[in-house]
Amino acid sequence: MIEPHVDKILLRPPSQVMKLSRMGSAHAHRLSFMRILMRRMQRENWRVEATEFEIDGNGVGHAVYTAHTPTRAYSLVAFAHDLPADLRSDRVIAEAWDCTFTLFDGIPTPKDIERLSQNVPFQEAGRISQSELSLSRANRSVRLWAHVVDRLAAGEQPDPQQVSDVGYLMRTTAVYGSGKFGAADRQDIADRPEFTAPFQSEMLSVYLTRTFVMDLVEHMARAKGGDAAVPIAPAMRRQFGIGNSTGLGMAPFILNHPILLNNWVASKEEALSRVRTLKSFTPNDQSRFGDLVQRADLNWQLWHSEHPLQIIKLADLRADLDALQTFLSAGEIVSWDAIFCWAEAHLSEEGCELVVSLLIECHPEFVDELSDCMSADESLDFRIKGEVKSGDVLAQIEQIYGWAETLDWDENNHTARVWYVSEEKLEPRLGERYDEDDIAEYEQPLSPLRDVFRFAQCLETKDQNTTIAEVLLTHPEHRHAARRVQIAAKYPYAEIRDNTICAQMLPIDMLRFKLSFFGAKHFDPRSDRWVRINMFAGAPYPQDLATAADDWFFPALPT
Amino acid sequence: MIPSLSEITATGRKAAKGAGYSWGLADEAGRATAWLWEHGIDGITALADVLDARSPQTCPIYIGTRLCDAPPSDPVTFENVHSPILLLSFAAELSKITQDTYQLTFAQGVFSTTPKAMFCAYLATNTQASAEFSRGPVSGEQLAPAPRREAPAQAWARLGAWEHKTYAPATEASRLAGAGAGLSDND
Repeated sequence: MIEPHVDKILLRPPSQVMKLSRMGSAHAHRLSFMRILMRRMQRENWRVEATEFEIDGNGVGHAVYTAHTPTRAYSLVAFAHDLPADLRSDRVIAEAWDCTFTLFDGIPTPKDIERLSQNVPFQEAGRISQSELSLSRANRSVRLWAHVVDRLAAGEQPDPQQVSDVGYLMRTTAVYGSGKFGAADRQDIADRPEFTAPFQSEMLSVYLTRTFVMDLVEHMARAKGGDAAVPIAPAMRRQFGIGNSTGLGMAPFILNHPILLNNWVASKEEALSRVRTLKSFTPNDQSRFGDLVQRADLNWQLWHSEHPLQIIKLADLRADLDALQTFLSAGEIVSWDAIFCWAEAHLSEEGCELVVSLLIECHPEFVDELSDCMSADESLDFRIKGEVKSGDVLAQIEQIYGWAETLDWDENNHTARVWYVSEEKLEPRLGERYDEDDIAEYEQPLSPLRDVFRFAQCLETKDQNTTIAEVLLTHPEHRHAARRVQIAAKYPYAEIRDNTICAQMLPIDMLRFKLSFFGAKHFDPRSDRWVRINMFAGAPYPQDLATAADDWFFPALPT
Repeated sequence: MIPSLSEITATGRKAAKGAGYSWGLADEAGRATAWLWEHGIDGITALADVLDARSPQTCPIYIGTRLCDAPPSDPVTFENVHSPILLLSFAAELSKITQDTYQLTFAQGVFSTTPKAMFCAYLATNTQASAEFSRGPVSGEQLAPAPRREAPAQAWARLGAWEHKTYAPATEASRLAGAGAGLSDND
């Protein structure tokens, strides 16, 4: 652990870091969950084997991939289907998929496989058990799948341009864990070291899915081309990630888990602060950072989006990368902090947040241990401290939410949106309060800012010495807001510093933020409430884990 | 149907909201229900009975929450509490808050809680009874976490009916505008 010292550079304030536009400009970093998983797999020498691959020439059947840790085994059980194209959808409301998966806790018996085969393909309509840690599905990329199968079947490699344009052969959609549909509860596995950091079982499931998908496409090519078929060349194989298509469900997650949110952001900001505080900065550091910027530039070249907002952000990032490279080549830089300060003064949020990720990347020795600080037992802060006085709560509200005190809540613009859940497969949705009849009746409590201001209005009518317990006795409608304020007062990064129901709010900012913590790249919004990404692109496959470096996130420089 | 604890928490929460409780109280309901279930007690039927009774004055969620918000220093009795067993979860929380030992008694039920554990001298699951909280010595056997098990189907369905009231009806407009990818998925 680095020793704190008096001139340590402070963490960036929540008023800056927790604005949606900045959250929506976040990039993956060393503390992203898939990076944490990969480091552990390498450190502990995990071994992965495909123990079953019973899939026919039409791509129908099942496979089992088991990851052996030093003390346990986890198995991806994959079911492959022959899906008619007209049923292919990434939405929650889909009812069939090209492939479906579960991560089994241990090594499944034939009886387990039989039970899972009757449930996993139906996803939300089936049931899994405490022996399963996740439930997920994936669809083929129509743009790339047939091309790769056809080329390999003919004994040729896929077209590199098409591969880099798409980046993956299958897109996962929902990856459910934590007790969903009967799966093991988080508390069942939270004390296992490999699952201490957030979302590790989900990341493991996705990592094994990528390996399976690559094996499947080669299997399909062999089924089609017979002896003429070839496998994908190793260097190109490594480029393939696994896609993901994400809708609104991620936004409620970060609003509903404020302490977890805090711990993620606090860890990342602490990492940045540690790097900025370092006194030593050598010409070698400057050249090392310069190489990383060039690799980020290569990554930019692989990042495509048709969405107008992302097109602008990518153009900003292009200009930022050029400016950054000019800055780095212009002369000697004195410190890591000088790079950060220059970026803050000269780059867009998109570029500045990339620099944050790159700075963190340079110092694993001070950063990686923070991965132990990113989980949370949220039950510990559930109870409201009822003895706190109204006046004190109002002071806390002023401190945390004061930035919004001039908002006029009577203006429809500030309350234009309603977060709700549809009865249709319980899909999370966003509605227009003033255009859709009765939609507000179904509103989820995902508007902390408005709700806290309503609570404050109530408190202002009370004697300032009245306790919160007394206020809530007659005003139970403010209970969730009271809890929220107490949590946000204790955890500085627990609260988004923006209005999550205003007309201009972009859900994709919340989605991208969460996906950056997963470790995703190539954020590609498909609308204001939908994002596609690429995961594990460039990561070593299981057979290369022992020899690969923890340096796969950005493409390598040409040698 | 063998529910996970997170499913019980979520269903209890949404059911309470669907039955008219505020979100903050609904959070309390979901948590108390799952906590009882985890300790081998049928919180699911208890909550379903409470929600169907629609009586805030005799609701253990209101009463338990109030006690945890402002822990009483003297013994306190509540008349005609619906599913008083749900108060046990709040008694356990109260012990954690005050670091003290509590006794909860109603009809034939006698329980005690400490900051770390919960004990049952006599288990009763009355649908309605007067309940008393007091500080007192521990008696009975410790309640241990119980394995997963089948949920009572009828009570689970009653919670499901309340829960369903929190979901917006499916309409074509909602399907298109509410969550759409905007562009084709089949690519």
